[in-house]
Amino acid sequence: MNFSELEDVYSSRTAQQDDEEQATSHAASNLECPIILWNMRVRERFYPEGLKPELLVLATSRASCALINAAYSNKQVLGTCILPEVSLSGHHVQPSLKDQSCVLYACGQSGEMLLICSQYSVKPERSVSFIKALLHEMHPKQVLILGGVPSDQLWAGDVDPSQEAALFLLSTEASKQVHVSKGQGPPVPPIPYLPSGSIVTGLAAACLSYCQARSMYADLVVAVDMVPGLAHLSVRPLADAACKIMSAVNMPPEFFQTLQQPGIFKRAAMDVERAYGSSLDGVGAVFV
Amino acid sequence: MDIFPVKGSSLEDLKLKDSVIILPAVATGNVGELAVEILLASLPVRLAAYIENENVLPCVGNDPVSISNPGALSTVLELFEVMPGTSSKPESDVKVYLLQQRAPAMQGRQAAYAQSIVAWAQSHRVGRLVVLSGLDASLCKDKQLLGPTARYYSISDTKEAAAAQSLGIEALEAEYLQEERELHGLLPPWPLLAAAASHTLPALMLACFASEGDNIPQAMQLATYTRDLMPTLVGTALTASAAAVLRIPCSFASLFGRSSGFESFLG
Repeated sequence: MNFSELEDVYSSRTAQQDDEEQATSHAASNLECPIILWNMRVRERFYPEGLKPELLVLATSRASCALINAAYSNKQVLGTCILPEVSLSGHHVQPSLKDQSCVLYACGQSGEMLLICSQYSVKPERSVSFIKALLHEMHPKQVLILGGVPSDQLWAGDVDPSQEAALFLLSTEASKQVHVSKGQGPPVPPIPYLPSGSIVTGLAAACLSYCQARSMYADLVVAVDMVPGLAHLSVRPLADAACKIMSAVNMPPEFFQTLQQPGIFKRAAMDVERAYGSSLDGVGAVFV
Repeated sequence: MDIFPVKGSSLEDLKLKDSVIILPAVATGNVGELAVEILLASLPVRLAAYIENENVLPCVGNDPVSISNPGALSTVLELFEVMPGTSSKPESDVKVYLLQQRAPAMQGRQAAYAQSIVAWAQSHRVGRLVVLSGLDASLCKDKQLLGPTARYYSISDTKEAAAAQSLGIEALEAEYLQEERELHGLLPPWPLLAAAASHTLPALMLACFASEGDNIPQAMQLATYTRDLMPTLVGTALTASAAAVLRIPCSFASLFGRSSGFESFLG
């Protein structure tokens, strides 16, 4: 897999040498753990014997964070994960989609679902330490990651994301065995697998890699985003995909049926537009 | 750095002592990674372990090598064991591993990454490293522009040098080596080789001159040399590997992104 970004294809090794030299003094800061603050009252109420939910849902994109916020209004704040290098200036007292934050929620009568809405733009260099700090205390039975990938950089499939919703699945080996057809024939995934040659990086990739190494059941649903300003258009397809995954892993119906209510994804789409705007000043080129 | 054997196996099953680990240096043209991917697509291999290294950027993808098992997840650092053949002759006890790296180390952490890999290898008493890499073709001298583009560079063990010479690979010229180290000493493959030297771990670099662009031919060349080198490194015939025909992995089809539709070129 070739990792050269467009602007780096023609850069010289001399420039890379300079960058490496300058970055050496501060690169270790990327490995520092974030700070996790727990709401101990909620944690002890829902998880008295440790953080072992049935399902951990990690939302890493704008659309997926808005969807989780809209769909599970009865969730309770379990904690927050703070990146020290990101300023809290301007943050709202109550969790808001506009904040650069990462809030953890408990959802369900017994905390069957643990939700993590990561609204940070966590850079890839920070992702591994971020995920390790988040997950090392948690032992979920199943993990569902909802993320996005920019189409101009890392998407090499045939589907044109500017013309149709492009959602794909990556699963750990353990989870793949769960997605089997009831009858004869090869395993049938709930949504198509990400085609060969395309990759996912960043927080979602770090989480799925963490789960794969530890033989955990985990699925990553990625929406291929043509333009970030149009992220609200991927809310409904994400909701449908999440619903299929939750159904496939035998989550109680009340957790995924709420995702199918039209009011939920309409509200989530509006929340994304309100929080992030719908301007077209995103990355990528549109040919007309 | 942590290693996680695949489900059903343990660290003791890996038998890394005295083994040969073939790994890429993420350098010019990504030739090393392409070559290892070709070897993974062609040789009889078994996924042995996942490796977590906080210095490497994370990435995941599906089916990098073949689509015979759709949805096979790949992560950034994976260790594969090259399986011995099924001939009646006893195969060597020395194992050969392919350590594929699918993303670069983060900026500022090249040396740290190299140290962690070599320290890990040494702690498990690995026998030797074979580093596959690209070399910056812009530094080639006139006499290097003609003739074969493959070179070798060996640290501390003449066995590897002799093995590479027997395949007709030329030694990396001292002049090029000095200039490269002065100009790009902080970039792969040099931190890896420097770490191997400081830990007195034998290492051999096989490399090709390359520029950014389509380096599949260079990768194929390196993969061919590596395949042919394996029997010499482990002391006996790896019959299945030695006879393997090299194949292009399916992920190479989209190596340069989405293809443009031909409709825009029709009148």
